[in-house]
Amino acid sequence: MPHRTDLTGCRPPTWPWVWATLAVLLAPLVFDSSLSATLLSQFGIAVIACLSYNLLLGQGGMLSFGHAVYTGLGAYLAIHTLGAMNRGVLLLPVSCIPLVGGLAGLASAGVLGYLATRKSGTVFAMITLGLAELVAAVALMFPAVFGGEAGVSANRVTGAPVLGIDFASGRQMAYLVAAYTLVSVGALYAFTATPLGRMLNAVRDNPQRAAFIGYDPQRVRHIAFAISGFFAGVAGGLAALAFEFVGPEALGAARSGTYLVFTVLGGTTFFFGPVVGAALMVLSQALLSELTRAWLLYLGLAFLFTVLLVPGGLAGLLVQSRRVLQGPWPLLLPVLPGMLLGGLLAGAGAAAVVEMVYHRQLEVALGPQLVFLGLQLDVTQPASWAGAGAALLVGLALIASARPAALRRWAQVQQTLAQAGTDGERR
Amino acid sequence: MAPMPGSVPALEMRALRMRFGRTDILRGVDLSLAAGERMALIGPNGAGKSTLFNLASGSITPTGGAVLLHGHRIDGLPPFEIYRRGLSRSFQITSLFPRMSVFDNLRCGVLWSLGYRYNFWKLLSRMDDANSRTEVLLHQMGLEPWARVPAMQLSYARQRALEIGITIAGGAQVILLDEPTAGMSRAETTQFIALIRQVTAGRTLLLVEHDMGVVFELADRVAVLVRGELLAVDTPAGVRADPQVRQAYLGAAYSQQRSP
Repeated sequence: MPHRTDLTGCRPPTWPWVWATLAVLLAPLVFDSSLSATLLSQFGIAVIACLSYNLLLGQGGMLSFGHAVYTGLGAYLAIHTLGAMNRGVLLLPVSCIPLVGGLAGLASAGVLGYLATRKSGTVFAMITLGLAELVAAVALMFPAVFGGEAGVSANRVTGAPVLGIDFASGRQMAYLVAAYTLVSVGALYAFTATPLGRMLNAVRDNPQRAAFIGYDPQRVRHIAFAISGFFAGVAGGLAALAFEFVGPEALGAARSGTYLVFTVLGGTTFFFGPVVGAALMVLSQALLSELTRAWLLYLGLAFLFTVLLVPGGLAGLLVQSRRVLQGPWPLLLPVLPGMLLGGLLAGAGAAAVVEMVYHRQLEVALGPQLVFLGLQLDVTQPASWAGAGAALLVGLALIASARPAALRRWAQVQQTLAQAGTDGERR
Repeated sequence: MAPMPGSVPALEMRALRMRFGRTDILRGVDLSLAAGERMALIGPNGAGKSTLFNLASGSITPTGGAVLLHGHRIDGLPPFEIYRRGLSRSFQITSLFPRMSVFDNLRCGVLWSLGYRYNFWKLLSRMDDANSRTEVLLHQMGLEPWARVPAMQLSYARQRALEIGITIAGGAQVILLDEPTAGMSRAETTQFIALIRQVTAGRTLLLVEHDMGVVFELADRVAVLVRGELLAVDTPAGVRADPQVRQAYLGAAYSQQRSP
């Protein structure tokens, strides 16, 4: 039975935490190349950033368009602190730098969040957008502090090593990120089970009623915003340490958008959704972008698909599939082959068209040929275009023909799950 | 603190006026509830009942006059300040935390009064007082089997029960109920009145209600509000017999359905 701590406050099972800790401790040993150490660091940083973002979006119903302000300001203060240590004017353990970032995030979110959290909904979103633009513009006006377009660099190997740890290697850095990630995830998870964490859900659901049971909704949102800012700043501080560089894009709207997109892709209604989102973020930025130049287009499509069809995100999809697999999955057997085959064909056809278009536009110098899923395609040959188009159309036709039956069966599955839920645990 | 029990009204309205644009909604209402009293506020649609409720609970600020809770002015204060001073209200249109469980809905209602305020460093699961008080409330409201169900999945009648449960959860001494039985069937209403009577025992109660059966069953006194003015404040029997009231509000329809 899945445990749902957000309902009655009963304690969650401890074993997922044990596994997570073990995985975090072992990962840098198993994947020991410098690339994987970097990827692991990026993953941990993304986890903290996305979870802190979801404190606003999923738990507080606050759609922020400016989360990069708090990760970015955290990163800037961290890199300057590190720089001061490089110059010998400041003495501090390097492992504490992310906390400096956290304080910067806390302070800036405390001040700017006071303005934003006066309002909720659309107005809140607009204020965060305005503040983000403001901060990004101000940052470019003070190149002495923010380094202008060139950014700010520093060296994380500084001062005397503590217990032989000098953070010279990517692996040591990955372990530092891992430690901060574990503690942050634990703290953010615990937050959801505190009075303020629960009242944040209440304010999300119905701010008016929250006011009539003694809570000032603005105050609840403001404190939550500041806490979110703290963890965002920690993520920023870790990033500053890991890359030893902070550029203006760290504060930019694109970065804020990335947090939003991947948190939603991972799923905002589950605590661990943003962790899934963070994994997607690192994988798509590091791997998908290597595979195809059209990765941003695929990302946009995936985002649209999620928002329209899977509001629970990938985490919601995983939880849902698990429940279906534990029970009424045989109901779907007759429609599954049609839907799967149709989906694969249509997806492959569409991707082939996209790849050929991109190839034609951007890679003319490489010649007309490209390899897609092991197939040799040629953007000058009508046959290639026809084949891709045919795959897309046949796939769509298959989906269309299987859809009515699939929807009927899906409704039955939902009904079965709902009935099973009434006497047991349910969401 | 009241120098003598009963000497300071639990809730008092003095010359309360409210004007929206050019329309006078309340034209100077004087009303006083003694501690422990149960009063029903009745009146035709548009008489100003909801406005009076909103003024007393902090949704809006009056144009003139004053609202006093235990002798202290509360008019113009935000809702959470009024709640903290001991007045809690329910809503005519059910107002819950739909995505949260029934248990959490009630527990949220308990938190402030137990002094947890904006605490984010202590786990709810360790707050035995909050959890046991929530269990009691669940039991009282007959919602135990649905403790873990999200509020939005409850039947309408149970949502109404939860609405009252949240209202009384913090132990406020003055309770305002806005049409608690609205939309309920006759059988549900009868049961529900008994429940309200039980859970509000010993507290000061002001309720707006259209169902005359509920009014005469629950109230010690009845205040009749017509076009922003109090027409009468009397015992249920007195109001029933008042020819002015019968003409202005109860009308012919009431005379027919009047119970023996």
